[in-house]
Amino acid sequence: MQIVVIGLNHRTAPVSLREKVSFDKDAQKTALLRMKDTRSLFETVLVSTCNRTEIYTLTTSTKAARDFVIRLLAQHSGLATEEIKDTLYTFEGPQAVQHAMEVACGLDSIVLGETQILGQVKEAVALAAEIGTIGSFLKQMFRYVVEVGKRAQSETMIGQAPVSVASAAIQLAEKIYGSLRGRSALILGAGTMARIAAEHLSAHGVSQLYIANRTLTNAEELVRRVEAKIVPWEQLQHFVGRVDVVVAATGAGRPIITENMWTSIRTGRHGRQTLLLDLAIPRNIDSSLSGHSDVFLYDVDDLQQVVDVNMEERRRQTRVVREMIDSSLLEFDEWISSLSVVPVITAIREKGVQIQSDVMESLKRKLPHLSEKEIQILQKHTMSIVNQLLRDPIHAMKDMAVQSDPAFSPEALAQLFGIEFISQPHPEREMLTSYKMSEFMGKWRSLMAEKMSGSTVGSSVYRS
Amino acid sequence: MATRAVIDSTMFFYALSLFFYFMDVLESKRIFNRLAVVLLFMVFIGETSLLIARFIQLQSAPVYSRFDNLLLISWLILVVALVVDTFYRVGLFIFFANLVAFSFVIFASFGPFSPGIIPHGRPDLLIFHISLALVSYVFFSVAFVFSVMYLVQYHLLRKKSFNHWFLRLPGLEHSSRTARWCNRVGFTLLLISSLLGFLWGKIVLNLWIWDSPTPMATLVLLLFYALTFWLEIRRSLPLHVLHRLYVVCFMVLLINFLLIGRFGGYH
Repeated sequence: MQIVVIGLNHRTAPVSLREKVSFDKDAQKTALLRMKDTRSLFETVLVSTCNRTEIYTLTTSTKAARDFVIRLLAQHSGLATEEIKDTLYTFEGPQAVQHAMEVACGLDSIVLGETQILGQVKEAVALAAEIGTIGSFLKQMFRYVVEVGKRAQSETMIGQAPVSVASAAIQLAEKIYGSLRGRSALILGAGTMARIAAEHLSAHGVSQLYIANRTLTNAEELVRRVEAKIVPWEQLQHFVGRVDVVVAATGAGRPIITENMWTSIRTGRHGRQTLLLDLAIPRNIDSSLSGHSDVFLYDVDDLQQVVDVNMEERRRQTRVVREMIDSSLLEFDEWISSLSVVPVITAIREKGVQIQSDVMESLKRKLPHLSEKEIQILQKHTMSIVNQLLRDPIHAMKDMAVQSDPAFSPEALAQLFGIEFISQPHPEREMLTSYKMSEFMGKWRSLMAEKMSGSTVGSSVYRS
Repeated sequence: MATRAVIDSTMFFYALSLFFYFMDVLESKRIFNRLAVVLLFMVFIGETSLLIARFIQLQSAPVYSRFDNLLLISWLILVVALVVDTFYRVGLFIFFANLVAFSFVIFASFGPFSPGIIPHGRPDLLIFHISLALVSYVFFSVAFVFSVMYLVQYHLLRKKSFNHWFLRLPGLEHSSRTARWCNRVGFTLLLISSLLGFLWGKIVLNLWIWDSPTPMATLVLLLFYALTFWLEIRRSLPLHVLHRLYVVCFMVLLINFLLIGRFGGYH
């Protein structure tokens, strides 16, 4: 039994194939119900977005799981199995967990570090929980996956550095003004670039947005999409002098905001800083304006430079995110290791409770005149003795469980506390006693192979 | 001897911490950041233990010697930097603020480590005067850090040098607002402190402010800051020029505190 991920993504399959294989929510539910009925898949989570379709599963046979997934995807998409087979990748064990973490952190996305995928992974886990295809194992694994994804977003800049020209313009505006709330902006033009800029500025809380365009009907169409005021083209100079941000995106083919215009506006601005964004080609703002100390003038090349730096920053941050993933993988590994002592701890606790119960029975027999209240006090204090005696050893056992080379094995601990350990391992219990994820996966696999071949497997029992 | 060892090791850890912070800015590696934070925490322990030891020795707040003053300012800046970094995450502030705090420790290490003499006569007034002055220096130091960050970011934006520093440094508006606010608080505190100081000088030493270079230099410093505030209110200067002036004011403060204060016999 091991964790396996079988899927395809933007690296292995073209969009024409991905769009056919992609599952909407209803189709996901149907697919999960089918997987629930499959004997070879014990737990399943289906992650499906426009760029990937992946099935995470706990299975006894990777081959059987892969064959099942190929059939499922072929039936769903109407494609031939051969066509799908070539685009599928399969990761097993630690590589599968690592892959899930890389996906959640956006390292496997088309746009490095994109944040949407984390929400999509969370939704996939929630859906699997709703259908009932996720068990304690994948639930725990995805807890680590989501946790590392959140940390990547909050502790690094991998998802924050903008990678589109419009977002880079907003980034520059925020570097100058801080928040754009309460700021005013003027957009020259009403074409595609003007619309994108208006939408971005509006989304970032610009309080007064003005549109100026020579053709009024185009400006009116833009105002229907975003909350803005149309200003007459003739009053352009007045509004350029009033606002904090000017975005020029017209097809005029010549500078609209000229040195002369700025000189006449400047005195009324009292040195207030202005951001001029020239998104037009040919440019609409006289480049000599960048010489003024109160003007920040950027054209499309400058914005592209910001995008490039942000992309570089995202790439730099992948190092930090990979370190986070490594540490999360280690924690997941330790969680698996910690499971090995759980049965021993339970048995020791049970033994303690049993001893206390025997003592109480004996006391009741020897001191029949004890009142109910006295019995309660004795009950409380004898239990307290048991708890205090066991507290430190149990704490030490839990610590030992996460050590790579523990001083005592679970069997030795059981022996130490006089708990009989009958070595007739149940496969799941045996899985829990391996110390490393790779060992655990290998052990589980061989046990399942034995089981398939008909060997008798009993259950492990801890008896006091 | 023990003090020397603690101050030397604190300086060593401080330098190492700043080195790792710098490496973190260049390389973005968690190991550098963690090492820098751990070392900074060791610096915090070192400085705190020095101040506590001095407090026990004097049975009073350690504010009567140059060494103690510099150490206290450094410690306060370090605390502010740690609090700001923990709760507000202002990019690179912890690095720049600790660079200033480290400079104060360096200056402290050059002088004698003597605890100073508690003067007779109205020590309560004197302790108020010195404490307020030290706290005002901390505000001026923080304001200086934000002004420097403003100027660096302004330079990067003007020159279109979009690099790692541009991404990490806070926006102009944020740096400018914080610097101006800290300067106003620092100015108010220093003004009150100066009035208390003049009063103490007259009562205890029977000296006027022109009898010593220290209060005169403080008066000049206050005039520098007041003039800059006036220019700010009049809006007659672009913000980057205003922040350059604030940097100059801080330089005057350093000259007053580190150089003129050394020759003054006022207290």
